[in-house]
Amino acid sequence: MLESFLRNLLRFRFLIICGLLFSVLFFGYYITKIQVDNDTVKAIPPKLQAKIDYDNLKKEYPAPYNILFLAEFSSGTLSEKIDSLHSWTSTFKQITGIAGVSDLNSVQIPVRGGFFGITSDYLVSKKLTLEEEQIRKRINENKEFSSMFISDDESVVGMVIGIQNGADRSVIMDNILWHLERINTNPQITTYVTSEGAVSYFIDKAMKHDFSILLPICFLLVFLLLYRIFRKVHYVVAALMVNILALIWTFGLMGIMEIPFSVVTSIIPVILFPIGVADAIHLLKLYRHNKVLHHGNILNALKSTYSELITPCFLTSLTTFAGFASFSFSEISWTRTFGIFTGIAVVFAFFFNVILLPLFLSFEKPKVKNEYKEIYEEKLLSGFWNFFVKFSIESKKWVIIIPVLIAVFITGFKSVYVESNSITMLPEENMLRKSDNFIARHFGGTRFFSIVLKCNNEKLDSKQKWDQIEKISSYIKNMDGIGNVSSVMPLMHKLSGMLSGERLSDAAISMVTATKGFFGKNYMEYLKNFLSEDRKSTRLQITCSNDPEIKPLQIAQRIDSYVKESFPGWETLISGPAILNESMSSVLIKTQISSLISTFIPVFLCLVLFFRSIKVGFFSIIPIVFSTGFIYALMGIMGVTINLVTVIIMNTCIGIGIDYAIHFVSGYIHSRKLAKNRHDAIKRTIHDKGTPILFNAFVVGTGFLVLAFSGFPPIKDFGILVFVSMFASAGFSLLFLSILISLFGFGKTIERRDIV
Amino acid sequence: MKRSIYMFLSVYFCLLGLIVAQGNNTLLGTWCVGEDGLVLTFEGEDTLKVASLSDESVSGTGIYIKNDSAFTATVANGDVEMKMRYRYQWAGDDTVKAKAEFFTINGDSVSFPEEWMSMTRCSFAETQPAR
Repeated sequence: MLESFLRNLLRFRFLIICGLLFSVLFFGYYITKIQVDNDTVKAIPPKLQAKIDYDNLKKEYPAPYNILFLAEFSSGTLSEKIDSLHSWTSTFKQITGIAGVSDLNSVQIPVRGGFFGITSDYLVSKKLTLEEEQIRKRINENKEFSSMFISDDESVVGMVIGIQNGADRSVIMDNILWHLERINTNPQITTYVTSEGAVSYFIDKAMKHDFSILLPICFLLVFLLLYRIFRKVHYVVAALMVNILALIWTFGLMGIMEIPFSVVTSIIPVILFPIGVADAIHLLKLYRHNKVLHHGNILNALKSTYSELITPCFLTSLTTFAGFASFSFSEISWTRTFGIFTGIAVVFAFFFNVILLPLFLSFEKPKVKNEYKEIYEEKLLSGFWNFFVKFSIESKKWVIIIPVLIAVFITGFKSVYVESNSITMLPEENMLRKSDNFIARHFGGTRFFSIVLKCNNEKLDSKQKWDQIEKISSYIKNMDGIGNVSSVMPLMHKLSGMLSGERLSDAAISMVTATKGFFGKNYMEYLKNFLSEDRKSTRLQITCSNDPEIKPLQIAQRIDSYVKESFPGWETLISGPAILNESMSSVLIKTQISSLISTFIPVFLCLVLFFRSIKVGFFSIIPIVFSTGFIYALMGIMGVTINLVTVIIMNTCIGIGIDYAIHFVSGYIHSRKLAKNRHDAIKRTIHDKGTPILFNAFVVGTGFLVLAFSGFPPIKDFGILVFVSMFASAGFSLLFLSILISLFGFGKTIERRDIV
Repeated sequence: MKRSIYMFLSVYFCLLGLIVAQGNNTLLGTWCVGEDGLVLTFEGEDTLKVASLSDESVSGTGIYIKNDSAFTATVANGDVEMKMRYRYQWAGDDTVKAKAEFFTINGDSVSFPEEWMSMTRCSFAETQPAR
């Protein structure tokens, strides 16, 4: 069957090549249709309760896309700072796509006077020429309106830049950052910007940088390593073409299915190159050897090569596929897409290793130029393998590894934690990270959430209801870990004082809850933040401190219980980025656990079916369990958190790392038939398979190590950890399989004293 | 006798002048209030409209009753009804000074500014719609 397949493949090679070229054009066209979307909010499962609540909150309190700009002054008067703000506002307003800019100069406050007794005036009055002290007094008297634009010590001033719907955010961010650089040339001023959507901008930038620099480096590195092995350019090209075609098909498929490209899917090429090339290395090396054996007969050489390697290659591809495809059940869209398409890419790579390599090789000249030569590394490592045999099977020295591993596991496991705040994925020196730390320092924290209060679905128009809202607000303010609570209450108190001299008056309630106002659109825009359009609900905006011990979700649950117990009839909707992030942590943990289970089970089943033995399947999976535990512990020791990106590390380690166990066990089964006894068979296997396994780990690991130069920390961590995991998987496979087989063995050992 | 006739005619013309002057000083028309861009339009018998030159979202309609020295207006905007009584004095042909005497919001009495407020008749250019 294999012979007939190869014969037909070679007979119709031109037709098949034309078909492949057509497929490249077809899928290549759809690659151009792929959209990049790194919006971390979109990666959140839509059925997650916290996400449903967040969407409901946004429906009731729609917030336009805003950028918060802050400037820290080391010196200067208040008037100078306000003038600077005025000048920057004018500059930012000229950027295409900016809907408006709010700062101290645009804040309107209620003042006594005018035809209706109360009117509004700009905080920094345009009608009156105010002295600096008068401006300061106004700012301090109107903290509820001014606090988000100026810090208490006046060293920091800020503005909110609104962006038009449909505007190109990347262009706007580029423009704003360009202006910031100019402002920062003034040594007295340091600027910061932050925004809910700016994370995706910085991830986009890092991803494009990695894609344009690291992918070619990875490609070049794999090219050089392959050339070091084969010393023949067309072999190298053949191995690389397999992966290039697999990638074109995979990304083309993504384009056809209109699946957006994210930072996680951007690492598929870097993953596929080493994985795909590993099978090609085995196939090409054996083919070269067989070509010599078959005196240059290409068809026979191909037949021998594929009959020996098709099953191990299929099995390694299948287990790698299982490792990645286990993410298809993930609730996180980024992880799910990554898992499915990496799995598909692995399948395509296997397919092209079967189809394309024979086609390439069929164009070779049948002449055999030289004999197969052992490569330098194989000779060099034989001394090391002698030592390894003594260490692992001829002595009990390996026992010392067990307590070391246990200590590493205990230390590391304790330190692993989940982080779902997307800003923390950015590097420390990133503008958003700096801004986040800065805001936390000056404004009580950067973990925000909202509480929407509703009373029997009635309009909030009575003094009694607002009394209760005030009590709820006071309760929250007094809770541990609360940095700030913003609500409409301060405005209500101010108006009540102006109108009636009371703390809370019916007249002020009527004015604040009016759906139309006499104070203008700025005032109504301000109210939109705190009151729903139908005036049946009010929102309290809460800032939690950034202390990791403070859990917003727990705070939210306590508030909910307090409201339900103390104020029957009131309903709460508690949501916001802080709640969403914490809920995502649970999803990440769930994804990590479920993906590990759904990887180990199919991988174990594949091994059992392939080796037709539960014992062998069990032995083969033990090294990968240890290496997975080792990498997990290493994550904790290195301080690498589990986030939207690093959650894929474990499955990548299993999917690729299991190959070494498969090669070693296959090698042992083969050696067992030739060796004198079990010990000799293991020794032979270590010598025969040790170097290819280590070399394979080196090639695959080096491909991943390129990612260590990424500007995006999670990708960097991914690259380093997968690099280490390749050596851990290879080392543990060699060590633990040698020990297990030596201690327990499997299958029948044929005692052959005459064979060396 | 002749002196009495001169006296009578002087008083007659003075009163006539006063009557004519009072006839010209009507509140009907559009008035710009203060420096906030608030515009009051007194129309017909009793209609009062409120708008703003600087902010199109400010709008309200109501009714007013006036006498020679005071007017009472009730203005509704959405679900808020404001009732106010102003004492007024002419400070020229196109300027009126007004001072609030009482003020209620949805029937609740509220405090109001004590000072006199100035209203001037708006010029055409001033009453262009707000942008």
